[in-house]
Amino acid sequence: MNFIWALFRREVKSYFVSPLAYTAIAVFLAIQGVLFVAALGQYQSLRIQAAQNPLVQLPGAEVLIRDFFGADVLWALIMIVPLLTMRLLADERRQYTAELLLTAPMSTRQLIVGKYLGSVLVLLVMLTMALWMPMLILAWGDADPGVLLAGLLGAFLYGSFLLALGLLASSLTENPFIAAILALMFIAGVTWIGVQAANLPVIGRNLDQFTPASNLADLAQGVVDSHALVYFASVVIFVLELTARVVD
Amino acid sequence: MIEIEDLYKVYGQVQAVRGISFTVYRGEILGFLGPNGAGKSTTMKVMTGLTPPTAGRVRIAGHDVLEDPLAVRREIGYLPEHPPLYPEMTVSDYLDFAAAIRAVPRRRRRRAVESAIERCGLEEVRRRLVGNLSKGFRQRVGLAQAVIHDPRLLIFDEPTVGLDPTQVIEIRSIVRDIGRERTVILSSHVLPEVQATCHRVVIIDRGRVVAAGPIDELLEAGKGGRLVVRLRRPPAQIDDLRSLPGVGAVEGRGEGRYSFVVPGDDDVRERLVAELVARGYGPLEVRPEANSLEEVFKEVVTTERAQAEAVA
Repeated sequence: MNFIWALFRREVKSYFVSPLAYTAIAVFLAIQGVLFVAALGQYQSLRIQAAQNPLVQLPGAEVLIRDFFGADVLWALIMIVPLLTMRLLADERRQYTAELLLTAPMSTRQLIVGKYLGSVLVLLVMLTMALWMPMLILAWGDADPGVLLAGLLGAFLYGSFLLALGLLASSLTENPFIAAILALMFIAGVTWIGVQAANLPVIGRNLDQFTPASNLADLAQGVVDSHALVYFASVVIFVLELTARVVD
Repeated sequence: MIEIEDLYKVYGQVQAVRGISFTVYRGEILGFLGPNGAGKSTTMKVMTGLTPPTAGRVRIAGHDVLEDPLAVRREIGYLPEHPPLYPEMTVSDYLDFAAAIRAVPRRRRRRAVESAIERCGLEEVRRRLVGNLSKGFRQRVGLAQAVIHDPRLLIFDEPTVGLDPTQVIEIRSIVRDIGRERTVILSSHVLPEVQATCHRVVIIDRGRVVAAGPIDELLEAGKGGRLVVRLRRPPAQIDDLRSLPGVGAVEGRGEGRYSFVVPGDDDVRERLVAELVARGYGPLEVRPEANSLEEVFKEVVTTERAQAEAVA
């Protein structure tokens, strides 16, 4: 546990002394902000339509929060995660510090988990900083705070899964740039498989349970069930285990 | 402390190490010598458990590197060829991190960092970022990292490569200091390095051990039986010197210097000096012609290669 803590602390410090974490967080907030403003505008015009035409039904303001933590966060994270994970293991090799870590009396799993948790903390900071936008809806709209919490949890779990994929990508090369591209490809691949699976007739609906996007969608709708929690926990553990094997 | 038995390491088509065996005893500083690409770094990586051996056994303080890697890692401090440094950390933060991942308990960590800083002369740079340090200081940080957990065995891979002469002297003195109460194995392709710091050497070439033993013995083995003599009043004729007792051939080296070939095992220096004085040549200096390790090394490596080629 001490090893993991030491690695975690070093990782977090290293994120916040370099411009990397700040850049990633800024870009994330910008993407989320733009999408949020666009959604607000759309909702506004919908409201005007609904006022003029009784046939148009106005959805509750919750829909804004759902989109914020659903489709929006999905896109923003795809862009940001590779930035956050590209250096995690690739740089250790490039700087030869891998030799320091791998000759220390700790297991590879401890190494991977420590580094991974460091990146998860940055994700948490990032999501927390974006939180004020949906909070506006809570303050001035008629939304359910439960939806916000479920959405936040969903975005966090989904982001954590993508970070694990990014870490795996980073273990495969010593060039951070290639690691970022690989991470992007992994994430795009997983997303694409999810979309394809959902489109398959009949079995699609069953397969859909196994895609990260659909699990995120449930949570974004405000439905917290143990299925999604178990799902994300197990895929993260699986990917981290794979990474540990690669490093060994 | 280290027992290596018949170690082989093959990378794809390349046989980096081909049947190396040697032992490092407790408390000694062993020089591990060889030209570049001889397999030094590979052997050291196997010792630290960074890479598994293809065949053979390596035991560190009684633990097999394959069977009990964590026990092995607890025993060793390792300075790789490139010091493993995080440029964005300060020296003391870095050493604190190194102590933590080397399993130094939290309450002893501060003391460990302080003593490593002191031992490696890092007081003035402790708050500087590692990335901004000079090469010499970075190497010292690398050494500090290796001794932070006070291991019994230290493995240094070319600790002075690429440093300027003053830095080299400083690093050597730190290494000797560290070696006072610990076992050290130090690799190098420069001989003065090993001559200056080590008790014993193992010379390898192209993946095999070609010579091993205490430095003095290796020097003895290469002894040609020559004396260097300097005279204040040399005789006009060089032939006059050939009649000296116990002396074979004589070569003039200019300015009253001569090189005497002394056949036989007897030490003729005393008789020789008495005779030189008696003849009034005014001997200023009589000393054995030192065989530098460099020559021994070259000789050993080239004869071994010639033999290998003759067999092939």
